[in-house]
Amino acid sequence: MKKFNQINRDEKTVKKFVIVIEAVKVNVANKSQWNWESKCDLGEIYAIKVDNHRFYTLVCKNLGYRELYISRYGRKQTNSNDKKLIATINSISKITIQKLLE
Amino acid sequence: MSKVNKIDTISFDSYLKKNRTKIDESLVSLRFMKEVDYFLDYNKITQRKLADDIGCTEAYISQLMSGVKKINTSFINKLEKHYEVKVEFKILPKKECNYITSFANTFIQININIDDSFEALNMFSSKNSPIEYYELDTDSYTIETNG
Repeated sequence: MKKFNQINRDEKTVKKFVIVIEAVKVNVANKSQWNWESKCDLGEIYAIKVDNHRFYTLVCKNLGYRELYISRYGRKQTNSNDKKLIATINSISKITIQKLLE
Repeated sequence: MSKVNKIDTISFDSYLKKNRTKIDESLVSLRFMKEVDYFLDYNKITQRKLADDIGCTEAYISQLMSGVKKINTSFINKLEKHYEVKVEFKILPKKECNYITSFANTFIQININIDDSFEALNMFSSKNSPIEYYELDTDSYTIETNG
């Protein structure tokens, strides 16, 4: 949540983030915005790319709909943080999805 | 084990409402940029190389790819001229319905209903999102009518 607040402070990053989500909804996102990273038993893992921010998102298919769970945060890949990002992505497979009735 | 946080949907929705038109304009541009992305991928051209080839900055290409800036005809013209390609535009009806009408061992018959002149008989329906499962290139299909 802390990183969302950071994005929220800047109108430009909010705009970029919203455009990625809307582009994913209508299937027009490109790899510069929404990149396939990995897959696990829960589903596919994609990265929402907003400047240096990376929001690793679990995509589950449910009754033909795609459900997006933004699960982990990372920084843009560099030579020095490569291993850390792999560990971050791998940790998504250990997530428990809780669905609560309102 | 960790829980999944719920995003603040209130601010997200209000931002969307306020900027709906601008976002929709960006999505039109992104529809084209997705084609450009495929083109670059297929031809193993980097964004840096594209920028150099058509005489703009890498930052500009990045802004087009993120939807922050929108495409213009100058960009399309430069792309066509440098790579000797032709960009085609088509106006298609938005409410196009694809009906799977019958299954056989070797084929699936699909009625592509463009102008509502077809009568859908023995229609099979699916609750799945068609966009995810059936990506049809309507140009490569011939429409046959049964008398």
